[in-house]
Amino acid sequence: MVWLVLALLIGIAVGSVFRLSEKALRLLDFSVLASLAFMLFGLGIEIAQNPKLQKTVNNHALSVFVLLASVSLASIFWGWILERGWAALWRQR
Amino acid sequence: MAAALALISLGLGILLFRLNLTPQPLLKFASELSFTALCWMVFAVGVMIGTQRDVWRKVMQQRWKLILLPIGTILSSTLVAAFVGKLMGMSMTTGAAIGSACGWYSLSGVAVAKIWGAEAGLLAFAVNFLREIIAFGLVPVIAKQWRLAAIALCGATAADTTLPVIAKSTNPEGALIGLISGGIITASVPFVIAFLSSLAG
Repeated sequence: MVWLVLALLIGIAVGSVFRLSEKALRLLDFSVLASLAFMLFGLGIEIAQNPKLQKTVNNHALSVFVLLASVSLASIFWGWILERGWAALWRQR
Repeated sequence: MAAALALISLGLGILLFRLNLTPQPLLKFASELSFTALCWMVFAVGVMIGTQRDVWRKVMQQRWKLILLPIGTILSSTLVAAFVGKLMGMSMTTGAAIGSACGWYSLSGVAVAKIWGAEAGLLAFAVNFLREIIAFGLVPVIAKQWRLAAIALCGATAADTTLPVIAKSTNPEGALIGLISGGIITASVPFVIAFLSSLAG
């Protein structure tokens, strides 16, 4: 966590102090996408290497699925309400 | 594009491992390399935030939504998981503790196992880990219509692992909101789990 905070603060400082060209920003944007692919590739290897996770998902598939779906939907619903306003609930009907 | 790339990369990692095609050094240092890539992404997001001079002013215009987003995300996840957990035959505090982690799987796995037992701990780990994984796939899709809903789905991870996806799918303003929301959730989760453990007796 410390490294991430440090990386973020250094990034904000670099972005605030230096005027980066449009080309440099596009390159940075592309590097985010490439790093994301790399990070998730590594995460995939970690998942495949983790027998505990697979065991839990296999043994408690229904509990995992129902809990995961309910917390995800509840969070999305909350964000949606905040974005659209409470009145959106009635407008949808 | 980001959603497809996320799912393909993840799937490729799993597939190559299963087929024994992953190079040995990559296998050994997968975790370290992933973390280095994450640090670079967070740095890049920081640069993007830093270059936008008026991003802080725009974010502050959100006022009460900045606080309500993380608080509501924790409360909605906790309460829904408590009731769903009860329906699935767990105690309400166990379900609530699993939901309250909001994607912070490393903490929830250990903390829930210590208080509610190893099985609940594994369940907490799996649910919160998979929440992060589905956020990678769904955020680019949801953020097109509802930016705050996408950030709420990420929960605590909006301040670290899913921050680059939020930044890529929204704009520097969305990234900063995600950072603040994820930061508040990350700071709150240990207190919420401690409170729930006191209720569990």
